[in-house]
Amino acid sequence: MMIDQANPVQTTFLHQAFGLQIASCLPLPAFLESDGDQCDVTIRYGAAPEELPEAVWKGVRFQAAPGRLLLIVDDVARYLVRDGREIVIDRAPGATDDDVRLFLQGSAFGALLQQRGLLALHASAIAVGEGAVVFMGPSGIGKSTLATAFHQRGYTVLTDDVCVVDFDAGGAPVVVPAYPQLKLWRDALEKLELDPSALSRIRPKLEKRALPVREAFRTTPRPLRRLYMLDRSNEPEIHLTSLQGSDKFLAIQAFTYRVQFLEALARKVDHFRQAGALAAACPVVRVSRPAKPYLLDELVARLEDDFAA
Amino acid sequence: MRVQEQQERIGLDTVVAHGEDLVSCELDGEVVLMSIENGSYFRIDEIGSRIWTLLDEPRRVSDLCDLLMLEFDVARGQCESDVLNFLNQMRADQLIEVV
Repeated sequence: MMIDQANPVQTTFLHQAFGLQIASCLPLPAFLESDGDQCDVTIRYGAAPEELPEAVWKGVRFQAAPGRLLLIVDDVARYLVRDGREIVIDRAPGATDDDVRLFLQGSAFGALLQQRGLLALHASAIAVGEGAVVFMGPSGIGKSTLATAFHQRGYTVLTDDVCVVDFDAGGAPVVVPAYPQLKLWRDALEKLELDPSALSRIRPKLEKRALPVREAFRTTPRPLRRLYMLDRSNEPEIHLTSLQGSDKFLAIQAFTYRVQFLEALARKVDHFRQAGALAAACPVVRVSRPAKPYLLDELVARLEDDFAA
Repeated sequence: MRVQEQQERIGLDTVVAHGEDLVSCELDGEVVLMSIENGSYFRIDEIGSRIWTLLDEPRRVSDLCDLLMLEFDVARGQCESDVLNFLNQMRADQLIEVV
């Protein structure tokens, strides 16, 4: 902890997440601490406008202008995300720290990562050997539940919800670990036989809890071996199907994190090239399971067989 | 003028090429396209993708059919009719241009 010279009333907490060094006015206990040698992103309290004057994109929840995205969350905060380097938080009266953190770590960072030109997927990821495998899918499909099940079997979790995919010097895709925390709904905790009372809620009135998974977490990027797209079906069994051609691209496009920001941030062409490069370099496998029961143990076993092959 | 151009159907003597306002990538022989102007995505099947690749440079439609008949086992009449349908659809989606 140190005192921010420019804003002496704001205490600064030093963190790292998504491969970035972050100086924040709000402590972010889910993120790792940092020694603060450098700073890529500053998060501070300040005034955010109600509207962006030069907006090229105006929606109900967000507006965008070149280099800026204004995120509007009623009764929580307005977040002004600038040039991939700064997030200004304008808190609403009565908002709790947990409220403010939730949208900061989600959509506001989603916008910031896109402003930095990074490809981010709506996905969890785990380490497998020296590499990584990624589980993409819509909200509620069981990305976090699956990552937690692998964690219980000794795998390292790299991210829970937002998966940054970068490309190394040779153009090969790598997963940039985000931060070591899983967020789980009550029904998922029950499936995983975890005690909710031992875990803190991510928001005071929300039945979703945080599970820290710091064991063996490393921030080093890992080669991306395989992308799984989680899906439900009416069939009673689990099916794994390798996608080919344009289906691979369309899966990556569909599960890009905050895909609605791409157009607003004039990122569509870059994103197309990144998604195309990822689709060309990495197998994409559709995983369909019955809606109920989840068949979690069987799913884990099938995936282990698949990524070991 | 533009409207009139749109109404003329592409024929065997028309010279066509890629639209300029597009990005593309090829995956397992299939081409995915995105229009930069409106952000729409298009996917083209395998034979369509071969046509797309051949249109990296402007070509007369009849020459395009000659090349395709060397690669695919298809009669000239069928080839010409399929290619013209495909190209007219591509043009309606603004993916190719008449040169």
